[in-house]
Amino acid sequence: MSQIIDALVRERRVLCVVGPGGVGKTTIAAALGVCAAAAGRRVLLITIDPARRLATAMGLDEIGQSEREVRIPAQAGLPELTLNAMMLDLKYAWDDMVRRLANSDRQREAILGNQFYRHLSTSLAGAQEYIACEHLYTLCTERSYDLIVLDTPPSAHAIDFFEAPGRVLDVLENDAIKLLLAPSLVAGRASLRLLDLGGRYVLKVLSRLVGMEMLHALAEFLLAFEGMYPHARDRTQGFRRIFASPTTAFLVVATPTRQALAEACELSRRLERDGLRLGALVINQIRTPVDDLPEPDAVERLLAQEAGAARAERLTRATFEVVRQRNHRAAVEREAVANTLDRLPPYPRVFVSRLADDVHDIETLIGVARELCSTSARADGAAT
Amino acid sequence: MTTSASLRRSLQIVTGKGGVGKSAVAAAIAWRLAREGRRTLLFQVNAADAHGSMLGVDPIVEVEREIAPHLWAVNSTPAAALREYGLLTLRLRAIYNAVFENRLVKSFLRFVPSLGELNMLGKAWYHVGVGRDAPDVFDHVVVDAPSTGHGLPFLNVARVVAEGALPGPLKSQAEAMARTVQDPRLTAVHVVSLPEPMAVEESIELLQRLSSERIAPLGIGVVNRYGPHLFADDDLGRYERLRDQAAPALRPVLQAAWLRARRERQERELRDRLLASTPVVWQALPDLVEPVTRREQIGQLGDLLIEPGSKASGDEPDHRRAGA
Repeated sequence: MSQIIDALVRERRVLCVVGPGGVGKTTIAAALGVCAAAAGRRVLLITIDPARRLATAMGLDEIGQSEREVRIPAQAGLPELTLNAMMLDLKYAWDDMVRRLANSDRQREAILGNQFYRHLSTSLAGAQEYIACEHLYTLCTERSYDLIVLDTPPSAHAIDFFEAPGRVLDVLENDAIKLLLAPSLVAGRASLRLLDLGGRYVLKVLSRLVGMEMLHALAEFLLAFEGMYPHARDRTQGFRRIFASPTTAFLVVATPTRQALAEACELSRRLERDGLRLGALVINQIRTPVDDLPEPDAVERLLAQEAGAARAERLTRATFEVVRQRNHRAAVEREAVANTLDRLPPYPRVFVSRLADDVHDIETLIGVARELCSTSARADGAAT
Repeated sequence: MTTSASLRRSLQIVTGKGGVGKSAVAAAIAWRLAREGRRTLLFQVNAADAHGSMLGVDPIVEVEREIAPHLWAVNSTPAAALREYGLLTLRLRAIYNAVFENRLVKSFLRFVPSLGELNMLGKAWYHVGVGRDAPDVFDHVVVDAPSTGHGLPFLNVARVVAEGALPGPLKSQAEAMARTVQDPRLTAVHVVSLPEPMAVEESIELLQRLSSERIAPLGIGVVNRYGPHLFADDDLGRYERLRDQAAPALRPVLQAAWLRARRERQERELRDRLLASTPVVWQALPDLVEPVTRREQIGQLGDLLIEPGSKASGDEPDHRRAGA
């Protein structure tokens, strides 16, 4: 149980869970949701994972596009908890943003029907990250949750999460592209008459690479987006303010493997450089060694009672082999963690042990929550 | 020597969700093929270097480099792949420099749909060299694809551009690539999974999409970190009973054994679920605990995947079976 996490789930308004893929971000985010609910806060958990891991983890078949109430039945010592959860559908969220920001029906339809837009909203690098931030901003400003926990997309590099908004904004308000295609934009027509001074030559070569039709479509797209850039920019500044707010904290999650730890280091430093608040470095899925080994004879005698003398010898060997492997792995992990943390400033850190091999049921999820914070250990809950 | 035929194809793409060990499997396949004397290119897609440290060589960079006999490696990035495509298309470096080093053009090209993915897949395709004989053609190109979410768009990019793009050079390029990617004589997509519930569900979902949307011909499935198993199903109950009645000093070891027995049973159940729900041959790779160098591990894994006398899968998996 960590007082660091206790304070975070009680005091912050936004917790943003970042880290490399496969380290249990979704589980940690869901467990933070449980901790906050147990502390009596109205909490919303947002996940963007296209593989629907959270749904499985929470025993839900599907989490809707809008917030849905998830009831966690009373568990040993814990009352029934309620939290809200949603899965962000990328395409839907983008369309929703266009509907909200478009100046007219005509503009809306022009954008939604444009093939560049379809690309932008579904597969442009950073589109997921951007819309997650954008949606977080909407929810922060329009809803009255005490706390929003944001699980971030499984980027190829965890650092992408911080690069993406800028990259998408670059595209949305790309001065360079506008400059290249300026005459057509000014003319209000999607014809490609270029600036002087070599522009024509550049465009000719570009058309050999990607085709003239593509250039036309792009000009049309930029034309359709005219007038929306200021909104997009304002909103990007809006969610950057949320990230930078003292009521927001980032949790960097890693597993005790060299690669994950290295990425977590890079992320933590990046947060610091950007002036964002690192709530905690969460080292997840730590193996605990078995320190006091009993006499093999004692184990074998006990196993013989249950399995017979013939099997007991094999089982005894297997039992000690299990412990040997586990201790070996635990030692390797401990060394990797120590080496990494030695090289980092004394960031607040939280260790979560490997409770089971996978968190796919509520019981295990509560187990993780119990390791994370003391709120979910309270028998009375804080809600009442 | 018999083995799964798909592990002999020219273009092999290894995919799966993040953290399942795709890079190790891709390296193992490439390593093994190279050791047979086949000219093999291990192809990383815009990733932080994994293969270099795994194989104990210098970090893999944007230019192909021979890292072991017959084994070459590259880390393809959108920028470098675009540069190569530009140079191939425009022929003249002077023209390329004049155009591509232009700030406006740089930012424009970033915005052309899927150009980055298309160029990276295009580079892999180029080195397969269908109908071409040149020093930069390899017998096998083994691609370590981005993880699931990013992996499908990557695999599908040639077809999407071929079907969706406006007529032009990109479209014809993409059509040629799509033909190779969808050709079961040339290409196989191997899916890596773990014996864990969520990983298994995702792999089933991924394989269903790969085959129902006919994205690319399926290769083998790899259940990574599976076993070795020390216990049988009925041992689980034994440890559970003993753990509850044992003296406190004995409990921790019995608990550890119980957890392991429980995980082993779950692993077997999940393997059965994979076998029952997917149309591919699954190969299990053990969790290697012992402190060998990673290069040795990669060699061991490669021998397990492509082994003399291993069970042949022979026929191509029938895509229709996935829906049946």
